[in-house]
Amino acid sequence: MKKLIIIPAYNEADNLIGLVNEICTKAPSYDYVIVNDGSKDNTAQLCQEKGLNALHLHNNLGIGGAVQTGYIYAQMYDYDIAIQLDGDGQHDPIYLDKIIQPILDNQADFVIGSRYIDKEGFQSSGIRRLGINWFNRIIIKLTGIHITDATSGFRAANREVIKRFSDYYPIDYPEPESITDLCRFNLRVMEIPVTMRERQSGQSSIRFLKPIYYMMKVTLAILIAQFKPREGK
Amino acid sequence: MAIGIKIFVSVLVLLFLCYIIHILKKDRIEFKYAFVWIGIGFLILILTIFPQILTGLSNFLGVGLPVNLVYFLGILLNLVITFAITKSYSKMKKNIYRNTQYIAILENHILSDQVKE
Repeated sequence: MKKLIIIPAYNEADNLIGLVNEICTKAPSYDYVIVNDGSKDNTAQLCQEKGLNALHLHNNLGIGGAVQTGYIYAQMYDYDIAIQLDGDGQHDPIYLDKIIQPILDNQADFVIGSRYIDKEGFQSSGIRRLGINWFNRIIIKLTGIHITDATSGFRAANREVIKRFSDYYPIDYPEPESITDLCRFNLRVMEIPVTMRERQSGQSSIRFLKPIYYMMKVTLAILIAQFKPREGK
Repeated sequence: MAIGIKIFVSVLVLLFLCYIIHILKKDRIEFKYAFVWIGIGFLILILTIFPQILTGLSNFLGVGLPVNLVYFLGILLNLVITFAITKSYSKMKKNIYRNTQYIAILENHILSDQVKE
C-alpha cells in the first residue's frame, strides 16, 4: 500500500524539520512530500540542505493550488492513499494510521480528521468557529452529510479522490467546497475525531477581512456546485 | 453633424484600422480580439458617415437626444469588453497554475534523478 503525506507549507521553515522528523519516527511506512508554496523564507534552502522531499512552486498559488500539486504528484507516482497534513504542526502524525483505516476497510473514500467530535485539544478562535459552524450547516443541508469540521486540513484520500482532486480542486479556501464536490460524484466522506495542536510558530494565512470574503465566496461556490453535472461511481 | 468632425473621426478610425492590421501581421494581437476592434472601428465609421442611423434609432427607442444613445452604447460596449477580459484572465490564470504545478513536480523529478547518479 503506497501512502503519501502531502505537506503544504508557506513560510513554515521553523516547523518543517520537526514535522518531518516526527513523521519519520512515528510513521516510517509513509512517504511524504512538502509543497513549498513560493515561501519567502528559507524553506527552499532548508529542504535542499536537509535533503527533504519537496515540490517548490515558483509562484504562490495558495493552499488550493499547493495541495492540488500534491494530489497531482500522488497520482503521477501511483499512490493508493494521500493524506494532507498542514506544515504548521497543527496535525499530529500519531493519527495517520487512524485516519486511513476507514479507507483500508473500504468504508469511505475520503476521511476528515475533525477536532470537534471529541472537542479536545486546540479548538481555534471564536470567529473561526462561527464560520466553521456556518459551513457545517450548509453542507448538511445540501448534501445530507453531517460534517463537524468542514475546514479541517487533516484529510485522507483514496485513489478515486486523488484523481478527482488532480482534475479539479478549488483555488480559494478549498476545504468545504472540495467536500461537497466529492458528494457530487457519490464518493463516501467520513470523519474521525482528532486532537489538534496549536500552530507551533508563524502566522495563519487567513486574517483580517478575509473571513468575510471567505464565507461569502465558499457559500456561493458550494451552492453553484449543486448545479454542476453529477456522476455515479 | 458638422463636416469637420465627420472627417476627423473617419481619419482617426482609418488610422486605427491600419494599426490593427499592422500588429495583426506582427502577431502581437490574437485574431479574435482584432476582429472585435475592427468591427467596432467599422461601426463608428458607419455611424459617422450616416448619422441618420443614430437619429432613427434614438427616436425608435425613445431616447431624447441621439448623443445620449451614443454615450449609453459606448458605456455598454465598455462593460461587455471588460467582462470578456476578466473571463479571459481567469482562463489564463488556470493555465499558469497548471504550469507552475507541473514545473515543481518536474524539478523534483530531475533533482531526485541527479541524487541517484
